[in-house]
Amino acid sequence: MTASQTRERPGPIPATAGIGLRGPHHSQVLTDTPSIAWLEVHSENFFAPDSIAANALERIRANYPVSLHGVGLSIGSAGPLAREHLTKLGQLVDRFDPCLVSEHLCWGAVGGYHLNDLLPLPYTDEALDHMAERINEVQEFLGRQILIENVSSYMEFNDSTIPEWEFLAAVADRSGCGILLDINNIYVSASNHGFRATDYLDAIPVDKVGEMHLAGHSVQVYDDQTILVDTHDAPVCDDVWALFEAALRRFGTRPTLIEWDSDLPALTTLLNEANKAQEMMDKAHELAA
Amino acid sequence: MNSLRSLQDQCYRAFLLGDAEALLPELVSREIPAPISVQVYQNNARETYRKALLASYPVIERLVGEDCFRGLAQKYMRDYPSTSGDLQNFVVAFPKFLFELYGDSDYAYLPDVARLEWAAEEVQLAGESERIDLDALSRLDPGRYANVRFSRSKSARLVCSPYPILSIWKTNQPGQEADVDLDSGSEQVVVRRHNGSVELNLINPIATSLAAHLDAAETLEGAARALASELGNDPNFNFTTALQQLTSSGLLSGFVVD
Repeated sequence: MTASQTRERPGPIPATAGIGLRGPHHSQVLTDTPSIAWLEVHSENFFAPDSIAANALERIRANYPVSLHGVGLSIGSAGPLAREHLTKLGQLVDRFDPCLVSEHLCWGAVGGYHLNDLLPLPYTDEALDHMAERINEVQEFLGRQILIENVSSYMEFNDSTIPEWEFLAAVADRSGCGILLDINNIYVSASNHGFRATDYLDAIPVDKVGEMHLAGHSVQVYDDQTILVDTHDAPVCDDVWALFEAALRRFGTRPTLIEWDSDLPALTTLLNEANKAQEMMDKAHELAA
Repeated sequence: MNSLRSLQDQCYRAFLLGDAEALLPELVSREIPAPISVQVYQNNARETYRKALLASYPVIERLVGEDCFRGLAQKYMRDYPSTSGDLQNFVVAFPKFLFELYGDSDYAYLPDVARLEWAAEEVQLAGESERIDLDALSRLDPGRYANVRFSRSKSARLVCSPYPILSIWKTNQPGQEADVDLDSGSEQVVVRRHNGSVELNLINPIATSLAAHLDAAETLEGAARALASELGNDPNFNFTTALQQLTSSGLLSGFVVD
């Protein structure tokens, strides 16, 4: 990749709606070049540099601003940072010149074994020190700021001494990372743990939010207990749209992504969800003007 | 207070190994009772790994059925725990796992079908090699054929089985319905990536043997001798035909002359 080729790539990501791009939609995006402001992909799906998927992303990147969203780095894990994983991420960043790079406020591996899940941390001073230090390490390695996303959770630790929203704000303050605010995850965790979702929004510093996510979740029942689970397999629900409206009032418009991973629908369904988000963003922008 | 490492160990034992005794007292039981929290994460793990395996081995799921596949996925995630944040690495050993389970049974074809599915996955991840330059090969002075060494394509795999694995694979694609006679004989399959898509094609067993001899770093002359010795007076043996089949299969990407 030459410098001139890099300059020709679209970017940065505007404060508009984008969609998560998954493998089954690659060829349609290449052939139809749908009207969408930007795309986000899961970093790990492109770790094989010569894969069909990576070659497709090379061509897609020529037409769209792209964000890399990692799901496997496990920044909050207590062991050493997965250097091989980080190296592959670095190679991806060098190759695709993404407009945003994001990871999660979570852990997912211990003792060399992975759970391949986005697991919540105990919100303690020890975890805060660890997370801030590790995000610094990642940012130094990549040579750029990353965004950190809040996750949905279905458990809380007795050891936690800091509310999650304060923990996230403190992580951003101490590491210099930005925040990827997942509105659906706030809604899911608020419902599961009984806190007010708007309290979460109110605690997040406006200037730290670099992106927002919207997604669908499922309602599951375990022994008569109703749990909301972040499954990314459904349209955004009305309550999450309402919370998004509240987020727009607090933060203004930000790059906002429609995420859909399981039971992937037709591309037009994702584009319609993105259009709905965009209409709300346009309205919020007008009201703020 | 537990250390971060200690809590994460307890979570791993609870969610992946089913031993939640140490974790339960560490979890808040307010809106969600702690045992339910553990169940949710256990279920998430099972679903994550089942879906990862299903994405790479859909034919195996169709052959064994959803319930059996779910059970296989649960056993696999314990026998071959994930050691990578990239789920693509988790699914690699599934054919080996199936061989350990079924290699000596009536279902011994399953690991071979899984190898075929993994080969199809693998060539999507590998780079696309140049195809062998047959014109250059044909222009070569015949006197130099003996010292030709071929190189294997990185975007093609050869999967051999005593079972009709390609027939099984084809008849278990979405929308396909047909029975395959497991006793209908062996099939050797070339799986290759070509122009951004994956092709699966049968290859003649003699061409397969020739490929094996060439893999042993033999020159064409050495491979020809070894093949003749292996096949003896087989009336179907024609070296030129075998070489033509091999060079057109996509398994070879180039050649050098010593």
